[in-house]
Amino acid sequence: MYPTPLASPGLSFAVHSFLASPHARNTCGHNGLPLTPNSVRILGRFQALKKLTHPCLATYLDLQRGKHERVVIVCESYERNCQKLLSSDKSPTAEINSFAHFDGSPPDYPEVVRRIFYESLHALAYLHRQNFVHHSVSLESIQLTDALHVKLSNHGTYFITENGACVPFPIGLPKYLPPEVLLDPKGLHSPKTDLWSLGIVLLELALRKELFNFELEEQIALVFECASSEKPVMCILERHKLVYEYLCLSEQVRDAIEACLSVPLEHRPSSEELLSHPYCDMQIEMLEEPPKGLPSHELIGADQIEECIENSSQLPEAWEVLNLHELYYFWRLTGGDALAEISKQRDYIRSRPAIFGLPNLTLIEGEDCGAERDSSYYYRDTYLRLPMDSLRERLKSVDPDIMFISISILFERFNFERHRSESFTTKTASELPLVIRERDIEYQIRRIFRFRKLVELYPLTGRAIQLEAAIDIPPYFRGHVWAALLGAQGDYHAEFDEIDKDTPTPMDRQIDVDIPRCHQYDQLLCSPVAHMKFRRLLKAWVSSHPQYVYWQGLDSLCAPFLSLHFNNEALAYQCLSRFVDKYLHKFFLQDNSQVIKEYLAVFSRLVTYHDPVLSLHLQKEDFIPDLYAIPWFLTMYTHVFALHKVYHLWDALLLRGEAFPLCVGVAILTQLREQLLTFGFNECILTFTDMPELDIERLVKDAVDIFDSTPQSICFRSHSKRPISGMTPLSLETLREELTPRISTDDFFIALSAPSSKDASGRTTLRERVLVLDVRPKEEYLEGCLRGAVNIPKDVAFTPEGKLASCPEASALAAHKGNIIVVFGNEEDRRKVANQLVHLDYRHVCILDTTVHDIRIRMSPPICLY
Amino acid sequence: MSNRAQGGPGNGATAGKICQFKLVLLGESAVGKSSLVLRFVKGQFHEYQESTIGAAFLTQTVCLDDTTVKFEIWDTAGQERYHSLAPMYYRGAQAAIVVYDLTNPDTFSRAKTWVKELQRQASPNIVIALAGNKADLASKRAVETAEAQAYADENQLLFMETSAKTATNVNDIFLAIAKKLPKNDAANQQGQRLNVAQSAESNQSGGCCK
Ligand SMILES: Nc1nc2c(ncn2[C@@H]2O[C@H](COP(=O)(O)OP(=O)(O)OP(=O)(O)O)[C@@H](O)[C@H]2O)c(=O)[nH]1
Ligand SMILES: [Mg+2]
Repeated sequence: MYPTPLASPGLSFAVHSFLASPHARNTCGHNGLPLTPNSVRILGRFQALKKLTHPCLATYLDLQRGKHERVVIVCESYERNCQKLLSSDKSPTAEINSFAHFDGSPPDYPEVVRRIFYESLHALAYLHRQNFVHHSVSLESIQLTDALHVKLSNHGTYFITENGACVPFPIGLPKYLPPEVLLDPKGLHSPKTDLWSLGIVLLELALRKELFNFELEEQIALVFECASSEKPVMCILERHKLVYEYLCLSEQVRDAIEACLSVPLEHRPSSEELLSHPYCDMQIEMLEEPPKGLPSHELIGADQIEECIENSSQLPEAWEVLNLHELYYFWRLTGGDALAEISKQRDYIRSRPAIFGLPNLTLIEGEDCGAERDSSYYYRDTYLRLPMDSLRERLKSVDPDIMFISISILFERFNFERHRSESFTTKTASELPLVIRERDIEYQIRRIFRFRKLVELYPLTGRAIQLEAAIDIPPYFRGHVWAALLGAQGDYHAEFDEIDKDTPTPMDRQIDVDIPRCHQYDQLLCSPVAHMKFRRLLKAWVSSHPQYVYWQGLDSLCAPFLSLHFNNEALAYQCLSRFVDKYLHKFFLQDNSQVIKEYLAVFSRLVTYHDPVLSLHLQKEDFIPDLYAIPWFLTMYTHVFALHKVYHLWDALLLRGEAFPLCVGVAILTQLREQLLTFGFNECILTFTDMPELDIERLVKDAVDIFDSTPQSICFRSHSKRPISGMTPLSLETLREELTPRISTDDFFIALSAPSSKDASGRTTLRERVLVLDVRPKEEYLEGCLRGAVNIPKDVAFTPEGKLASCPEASALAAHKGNIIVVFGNEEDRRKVANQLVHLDYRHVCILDTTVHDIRIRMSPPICLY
Repeated sequence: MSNRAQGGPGNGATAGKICQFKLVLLGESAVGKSSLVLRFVKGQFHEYQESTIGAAFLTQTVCLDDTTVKFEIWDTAGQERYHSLAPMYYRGAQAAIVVYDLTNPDTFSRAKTWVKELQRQASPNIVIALAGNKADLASKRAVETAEAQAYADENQLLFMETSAKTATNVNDIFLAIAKKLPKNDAANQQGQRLNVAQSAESNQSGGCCK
């Protein structure tokens, strides 16, 4: 048994579809680039519709682009609408009684009409407040739920088509359009357009009869006749011979109708004004109460948290909280595909053989003449309902405990042992490849239920989100989870509002030429709306970070956040800003050369640390990171990977510290290791001119392993946000001369004391055994050394050919190859030995970053090993 | 296309000398440097060509009579901030193409600055070509051919108006450079690798990885 919204048998998802105007072939915009296809423009604008939430508005869910500029829109849909009410064989009252459920006795028909009118008006007022004009209000657009509430539909068509400019057909039916609109169909139309339409609708409902049942020309003529009449409604009534019936209606209805059907705009009330008309004096519970469940595109503010917690302790029914966007997401996971459904309907997309569409004449500019217009270019108001059965079945069989568990993890006081079967399935499933998990409905249902509560209660749940995200991040919540991982909170809307995003700056040209080159394979990001948002985000970032400047590449960094928070620029901005702060500290300084050079040098040393053979080969070829890795780090890989890869990479990145990107770099090189080792300079650099196809899941896994097995201080950078204290900052020369990284004494002692062990999950931890190589002269060593240190004085360490001199200590060292080797000694000596070990292919060689003097206190008398 | 007839890229090396030359592309951002290289190397044009960060490297071979000329091309980033990286690429280059967008006069001034810098700092016998790109946008032209030609003559530059989009003059400009380059200089026979460490120290201006 489902409560809302799936409970309503009348609800389903539906598609409706039309063709956007195609551009003439080879036409170009002012910059010489092809014009953005209209369907892409529409896609960009469509996103704003997803934000609309009003109990009497049908929810828009998705827009997909088909072939030939076809636009397929998925939205919430109900079987009944006002048009069906009037066209039914039964009387409207009987029709209502046949489907609607009432508590108590059914209301009388005029009351029903009043409620429909009121709810529709309420929805329109909501739209008008946000500057949307419906423009297609009609009997048909007013859908009815089983409880006889209004779900106004089709309210986005006018907006997404740029007031009709992107489509070859007019928007709205002439019989519902006011005279001023029919006179100037291309003009900018006032929200009061909808009031006229609503007036006609009310007239039809009240008279229980569809009007204007005649030829289009006559319909238009009648509207124009109204325009010149004292009392337009009388024109219509006389024409339909319904004056008497009209006069029998209550005075209130008539007054409301006549107010709507005022020709001069200044006499026609606005939706807000009309709401205070006596005819609208009614109370509808649903409209007063905010809808339950997670708002679909918002992270809540701190003030709402208390309330949320109170509600959540009542353990609501699982299905009660799923909103339509989530349901639609699940619908797709069950294999639902709106485009495929539409193309199954032959008569819906009726396309003529192309040969009939050939023009008689084609001008040299590319314009066609004399081609007969394909009827599929006309607008068809048909909604195709999508099959919902498999979703319903699927959701029915979901373990009801999921909901319970997802809440219990929030509250330590309910610290139950997790349900056994649940944790078992989750665990085994989480070992499947990520791409499979992301498409597995069973798994995603569990994950989404787990996360939706966590996200809803953020920032209280920051820690829990981190723990869960370490398993994986369900794509549906990626935007929210990222924001949480970055610690976004506070009144970020207000913060964003205050930033100047408009004043022209010298940076603008660069931003403007970069945006149309940034991730433009992505349908959404190449829309004009996206470009506008890109621009605002970038300008906002630049103007609120006066210490930094715009470097090419910042645009790419912006892309993942924009695409995840398309409808919430303020949050996208907040994430971008926190991200740059955390991972790219000082990278966008006007003079960032020291920062970047240090970064690259640290990177080189990290490569050497993990893979000396590869590192030496690349150095020998002069294939230095300066030539290929700047775009990697400066954009955190967003300039080199497509968004779907960036998502998975950043899922891991956001859980880790500043050193992770360096580890990703190492993982990239090691994934291509075999080739690179055989390549000379040219082939190496050509390899990275276009980043080769990499297995991203493996890359992430390798990078994580590298990260886990690298002591923090190995990646020490003096320019990092919070440099590890106690480390010696090194000059660039030293960084280049000294091939191996340095390890802090703290890390060193941690590494020493941690025996290699298995962690709770049964994986061997990546800690390795540590060998201390003391390169001081024997005498000094004998005075005192680090416990367990092996002494090979620098002077006798190597043969003239550079091999290890043979001695028992050297064998100990050789036996230790592959594990961590910490070189200890005087500045020059230790560097020479460490560098030579690198040349002998020793991995994990590092230099203890301390002076002999400082460490004396911690030394113990020598222990002879052999 | 007519410009392919005289031996465009990909004609295959025949017997004879093989020369390698390092060529660098310079010019304001978004004038079409990457697009020109992509057209020359792969015969393609991407409307949404990604911006270049740092620099990109590509190679292409052309045949000139009995000589095979292999270009090692460095396509640099155009944003002024990346300027400090440029010496690393043009130092040791035997040829340079300085590109401007003929619909945008500011990019032409920028091109002149590049030419000056090359004349001062690059190797003295570097072959410089000036390319007025986006010639397909004739209706938006803002830099007259005569003006650019006069400037090129004055400075002994090769000059062509090109279009990466339609491929006009793209192979031609590379071929013209190939012709002008000395083919018997021993130094050219195996090409020179860029010496990063050296150039890195010698530039003192701010910016990314000088
Ligand atoms: N109409 C036209 N557009 C061009 C031409 N060449 C390049 N473009 C466009 O101009 C824009 C910039 O081209 P790029 O090749 O990325 O420019 P760039 O000089 O490499 O820019 P940076 O990498 O930022 O230095 C792209 O959108 C190209 O599609 C051309 O010949 N004609
Ligand atoms: Mg470029």
